[in-house]
Amino acid sequence: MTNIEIDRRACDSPLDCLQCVRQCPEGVFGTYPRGRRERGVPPSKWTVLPMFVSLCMACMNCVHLCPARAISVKV
Amino acid sequence: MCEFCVKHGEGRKWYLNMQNYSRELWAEPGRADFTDEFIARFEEAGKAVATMERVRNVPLLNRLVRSMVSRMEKAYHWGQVLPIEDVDLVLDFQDSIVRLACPCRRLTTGRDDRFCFGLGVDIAGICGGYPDYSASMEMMGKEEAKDTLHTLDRQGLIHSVWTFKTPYIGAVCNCDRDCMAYRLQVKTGLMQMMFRSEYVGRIDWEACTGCKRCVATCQFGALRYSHSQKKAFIDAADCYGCGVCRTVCEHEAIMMSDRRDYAWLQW
Repeated sequence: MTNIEIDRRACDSPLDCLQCVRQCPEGVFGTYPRGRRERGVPPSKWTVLPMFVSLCMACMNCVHLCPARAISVKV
Repeated sequence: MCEFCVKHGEGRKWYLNMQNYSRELWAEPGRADFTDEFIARFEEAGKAVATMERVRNVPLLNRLVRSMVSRMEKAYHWGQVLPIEDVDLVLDFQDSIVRLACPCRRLTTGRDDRFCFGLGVDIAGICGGYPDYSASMEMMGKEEAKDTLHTLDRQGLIHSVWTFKTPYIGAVCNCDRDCMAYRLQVKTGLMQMMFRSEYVGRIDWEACTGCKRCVATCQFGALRYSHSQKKAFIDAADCYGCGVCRTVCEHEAIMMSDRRDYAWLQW
């Protein structure tokens, strides 16, 4: 199985970009709020994670498209 | 009859048993808390999936995790596919319907796509407490909801009902490849949480012209095409009985038959 790593410091505000999430042909990535969602407060910090790693075909779309160069894929 | 109809159906299809939408059932201990946690912490499912993916190549452990998680989903949150005519019957029971941003799509695409329909005032109340859900919430009348669902049906989305602490039914969803249940069950096989409908599609070859519209619509890869006979056919073992192929067929060549008539098929 491939190993996908995301540099959280380089990818700071994923919801404004979402290139990896949208351009992944297999839908490997997921995006979620950091910490628990609180009543009455919209989540402020979001993060991207490689979710369905077994679907990854190592096409490297995400690696090339990430404007922050935050993603690395090792086969 | 599927195991859920036997357990929760009282002689009918379980989702046509009004009991399963009742305020009394909602008021049972733990259900509101579960639903609140479900909305507040939905995305944490993504982290759990990432962990399951890590152990999927470990023999035995992988099977153990799959059966444990599937059993948990059966007790708390699972869904069944249903064709559009059954969605209409389900909506007929409802006094209050609220259109919501789909939590699955938020997780898998980062978008606010309003493909989910919360049933009952309680679900609406819980979602209303969280600003990123309440912002795009919309109360709908029965007929408006039906119209919207028929439009989604023509676009090829699969309808399903979902339990919030089984057997309470709290939502009708409209799924495609960006649905978490679809990815977990159909794409990766990590767990079973989305059950097949009470129907199976069948094609009348007298009427089929081989236009392949249905083949392009099926999300489950159940529709195939025979080049020698110039006809489409349905592999019943892969069919989820969602009925979207029937909707796109311009020649009324596809009909839904009762899954119970196919003794070898599962739900």
